[in-house]
Amino acid sequence: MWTWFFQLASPKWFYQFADKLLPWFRWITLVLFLVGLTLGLLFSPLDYQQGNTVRIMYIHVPAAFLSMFVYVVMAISGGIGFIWRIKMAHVVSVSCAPIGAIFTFLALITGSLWGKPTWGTYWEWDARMTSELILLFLYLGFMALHNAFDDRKTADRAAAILALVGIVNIPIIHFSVYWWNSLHQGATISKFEKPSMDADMLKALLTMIVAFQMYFFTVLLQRIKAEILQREKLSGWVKSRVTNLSSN
Amino acid sequence: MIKESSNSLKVENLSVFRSELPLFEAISFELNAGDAIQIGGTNGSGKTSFLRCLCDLSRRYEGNIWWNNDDISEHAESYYAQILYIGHSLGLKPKLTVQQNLSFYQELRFDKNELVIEKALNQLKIGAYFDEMVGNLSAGQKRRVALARILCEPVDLWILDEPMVALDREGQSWLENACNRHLDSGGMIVLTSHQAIEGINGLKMLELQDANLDIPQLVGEN
Amino acid sequence: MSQLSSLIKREISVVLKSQSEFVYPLAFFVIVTSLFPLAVTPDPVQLAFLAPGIIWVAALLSILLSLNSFYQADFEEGGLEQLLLAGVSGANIVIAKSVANWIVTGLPLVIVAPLIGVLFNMDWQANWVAMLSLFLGTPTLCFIGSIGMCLTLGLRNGGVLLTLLVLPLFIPVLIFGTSAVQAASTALNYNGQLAILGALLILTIMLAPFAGSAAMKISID
Repeated sequence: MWTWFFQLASPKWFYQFADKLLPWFRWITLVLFLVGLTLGLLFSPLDYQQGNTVRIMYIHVPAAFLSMFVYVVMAISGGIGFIWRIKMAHVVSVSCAPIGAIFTFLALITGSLWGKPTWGTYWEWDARMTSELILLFLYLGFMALHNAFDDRKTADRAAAILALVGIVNIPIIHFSVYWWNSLHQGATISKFEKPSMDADMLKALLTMIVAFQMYFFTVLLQRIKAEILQREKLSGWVKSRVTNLSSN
Repeated sequence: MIKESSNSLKVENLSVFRSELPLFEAISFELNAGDAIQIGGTNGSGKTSFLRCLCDLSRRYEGNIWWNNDDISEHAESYYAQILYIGHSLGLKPKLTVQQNLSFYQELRFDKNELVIEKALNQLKIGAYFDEMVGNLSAGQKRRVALARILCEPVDLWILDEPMVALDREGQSWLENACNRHLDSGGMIVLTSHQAIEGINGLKMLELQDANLDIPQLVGEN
Repeated sequence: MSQLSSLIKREISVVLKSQSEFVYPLAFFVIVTSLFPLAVTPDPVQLAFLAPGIIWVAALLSILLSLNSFYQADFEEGGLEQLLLAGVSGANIVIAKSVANWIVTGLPLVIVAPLIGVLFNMDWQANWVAMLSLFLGTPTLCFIGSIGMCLTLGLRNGGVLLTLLVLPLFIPVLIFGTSAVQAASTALNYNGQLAILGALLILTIMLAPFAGSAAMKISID
């Protein structure tokens, strides 16, 4: 079993592995999204307070959850690459970053859109939104740092350190921001107090979360494939793959 | 006094990488006590990068470097204690005096000994600048201050990057004599230079060759 | 330990020898804080309300500016690699530079802050806690800043990138620092905030040298 795992460290093997998985992932993602959106938009109840606007939750909550999940994946794979010097781990880490940043941005946008009809403002400095904003800065910092180096190996390792520093800091930042918010909010109800979860709502929400997860894995595999081709462009198998493709 | 020394430096199939491409064809050599080697090559051929790998400052290489049969990347601490690296950037602080710079480096690994520093500076004909700020010295004088470290910090292996640069003839012959004395007492030297160095006894020569790169042909070209 | 103290002494003497360079962050602090009455309002009540945040943000930015002078020159002169080759651990180098940075930049900030507090009509209790919070917080900022500095050592435009990387990491210290001063100015208890600042300091001192050392070796590679 472990040999299979170690094989993943070879870019060529990983590429072929990703190639095999991708069609399945794409279909599963599509189905999950269709099911989740149907459940959420059509078959789940209105919130007694917020009406239809509560349905933004089906995008906002999964996006926020994924934004944190992806950071963890990014940091762990970066750490593995750094400690054990496994190139593929860095490929995974670097490929995660833009996806995580987009999820964070999506969470912020949907959160903002949710706020306007519900509370009247597009932005309120509540704990979760502020935390998401800082997370976006951390993602952008990671991508900016990686971009700033000419040598890819150096870039990988530096970015991995930043990701690890970030992962240690995220709980601290989270705690600080929530604490800060509790000081300044006082007794007001949190803007995104989760509506009492109807069973149908929960079903839809969980489906959407899994759909987003699968989406992440699908896009991640595609990004990894592209990254592998770029990094291994001088190797024999990539050359023959590219020339074969274009002679078809 | 001839020091009995059984040190050996072995470089095996070493190629340094920059942006994932090898800079030169893999090289191998072995140095024992009393040996010296000059790494030659054109500008940009990777001489400085190679020396930095030899110092374990850079890990961007493939191949092995053995010091007394220990891999230097795993025994860095004991390796460091026996080498002196003087690179392009001399590592001198311009706002500190010559004495302060040399004392500081000396005290990191050896006992404080101002006399040795004075003697070294006198040998290099810059004794008068003992209390002068390094920033006020000329390039050649700064080079001499950096080279003074080879007398102030007695180690077995000298790793020198273009040591002759900015030295006048007198300075160059001083350095050659110092190298010969070092080799006679069992020391080892690795240096780079793009000019031929005549005065060092038994200096082996290794030219870095361009690496054979298999650049993929564009599709459509034959 | 003695190696560490001789390293710290050397760092401090080098920076102090650059004549007035070490004063710049302090001058920046004073000038930036002075901008706010001009930009917002000179009303004493409102200034007293804004003061904790302004002082802390200005202190934070001053420290960010001061980082460069401890690392960039050493890196370019080849001094950093000589220290490593002499067997000094990367962690010790980071500790020495961070401590020196704090002594040369952070400590003066702590001392000057109450003067700014007076300009902002803060009462003596708030001023005192401002000093305490800065005393506990600025070393943490120096250590965190070291990590960012080591990551961006060899880069063009490293300065701006450093800012982007490090400011999010400063946020917890900022939150608890300002909160302590705000609590003091409204006669509430501030010990909790100070305790957390202390805890952040200890955590950072334990972890930052290793992160900084790893980053330094990558930049030198």
